[in-house]
Amino acid sequence: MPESPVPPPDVYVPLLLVVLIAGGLAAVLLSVSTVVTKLTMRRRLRSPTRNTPYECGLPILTDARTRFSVKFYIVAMLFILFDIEVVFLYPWAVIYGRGDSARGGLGLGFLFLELLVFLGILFLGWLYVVRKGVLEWQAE
Amino acid sequence: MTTWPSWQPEVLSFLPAWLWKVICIFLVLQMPPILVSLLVWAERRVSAWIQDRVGPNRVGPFGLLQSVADLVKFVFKEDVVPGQVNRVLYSVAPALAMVPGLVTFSLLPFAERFMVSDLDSGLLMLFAISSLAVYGIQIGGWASNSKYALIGGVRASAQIISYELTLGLAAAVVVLFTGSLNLAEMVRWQSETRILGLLPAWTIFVFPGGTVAFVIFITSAFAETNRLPFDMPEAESELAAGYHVEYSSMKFALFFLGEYAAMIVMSGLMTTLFLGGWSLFGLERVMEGTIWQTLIQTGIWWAKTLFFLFVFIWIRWTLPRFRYDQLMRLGWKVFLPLSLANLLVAAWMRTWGMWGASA
Repeated sequence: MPESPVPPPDVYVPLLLVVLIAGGLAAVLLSVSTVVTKLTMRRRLRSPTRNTPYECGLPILTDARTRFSVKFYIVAMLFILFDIEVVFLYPWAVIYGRGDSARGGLGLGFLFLELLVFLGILFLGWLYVVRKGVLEWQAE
Repeated sequence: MTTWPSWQPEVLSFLPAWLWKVICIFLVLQMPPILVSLLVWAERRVSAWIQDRVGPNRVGPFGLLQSVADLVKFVFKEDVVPGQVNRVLYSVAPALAMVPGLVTFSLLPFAERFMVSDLDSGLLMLFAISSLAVYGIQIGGWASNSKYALIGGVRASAQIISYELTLGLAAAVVVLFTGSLNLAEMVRWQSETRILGLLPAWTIFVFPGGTVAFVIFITSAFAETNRLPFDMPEAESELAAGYHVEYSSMKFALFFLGEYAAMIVMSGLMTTLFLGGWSLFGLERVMEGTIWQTLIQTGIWWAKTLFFLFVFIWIRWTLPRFRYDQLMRLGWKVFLPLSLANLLVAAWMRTWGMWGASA
């Protein structure tokens, strides 16, 4: 298959255009409902309960922004670690998939061995996380 | 540089390349609103059909205009901004949730000569943009300053990032087979390679590496888009509506649009990565270069994608909801090691035999 027919800027410009159009559309849609509300409601309905968060009609006792389970933070941290490793796999996969690594003197066997080592280390890390009980969500 | 056809159908080759791109952008940006409105209608009709009800059938033929009625209602509903919210973030969040959905649309390869941007880093770019939607959800949940919304937002982000890992690892199998991150290149590889000298090497047919990757991918896609059976972020019976409980009017509509657009993009990605995209047993090569070929390819692509969208709806109304700890256990303890092992198997197959598909 041929190389990319157009130089990189030309490929990214349409994408940038779409981002701008989508952003503009979002802005227009958001302002439409605000404007329509302003125009159609002669008298803004106001009452104390209207300004409180929705809790199925129960009186609000506490603020919503209290502490919650640390598990969510840990999941986020683990995600960053593992996701970076997944991203490292992509260039490897491209080179391996092209199968032309022989040019560089390294055979596919060597590349496969590299994957084995990489995944082995990744697996050890995962095993540590599991054994530490980080992924247990049941209440103690 | 090699000369290459300007990548527009021959009939339209008199158009300058930039104009064709503009037309592509115009056409592609029509798709999400039209499809989302059809999908909302289809969702209600199919759910009614599965539950032996009639469903919306009053507005227009078969109730097809129901979504138009919904839209009118969205526009004219009062835009309530509750007093406790953080106003700036509260208004920005719906836009942040919707824009990635629309932008990722423009990265999908509908047909060989009908693409907005044919990037060599296509798959990475698509993942990068689509995962930005988590900001909209999380910021919306937090800015609402409501307990349901906050819990929904936190749950959603933890769930989405967890399954992004397995999504990425499953997609890496396809990269491994095709040796490219360019989505169009992946489709070309799948349609041109043969398994056992006969079957096109659609990744799903490359057993076991590709097939297992597909199963992991489709399950992770359900979790990514917060669809049942993984819809803990907006579980009605627990959180009322989750992260968008404090939203109304058009702001709510934007969340809705973003969610459905993400669902369509995920279906399209499954089509592209695992089901051979625009190819269908040689039909995609009929009338090479003409506008008919482009239409046929786009038709094939959409037929496959619509099938996946039907599966999304079908599963939503058939399976019960998971519990959150079950969801996390499935993602981290089952799918993560499984997809790592699968990657190894796929890599082994790639070099040492793939049912006769050339390496």
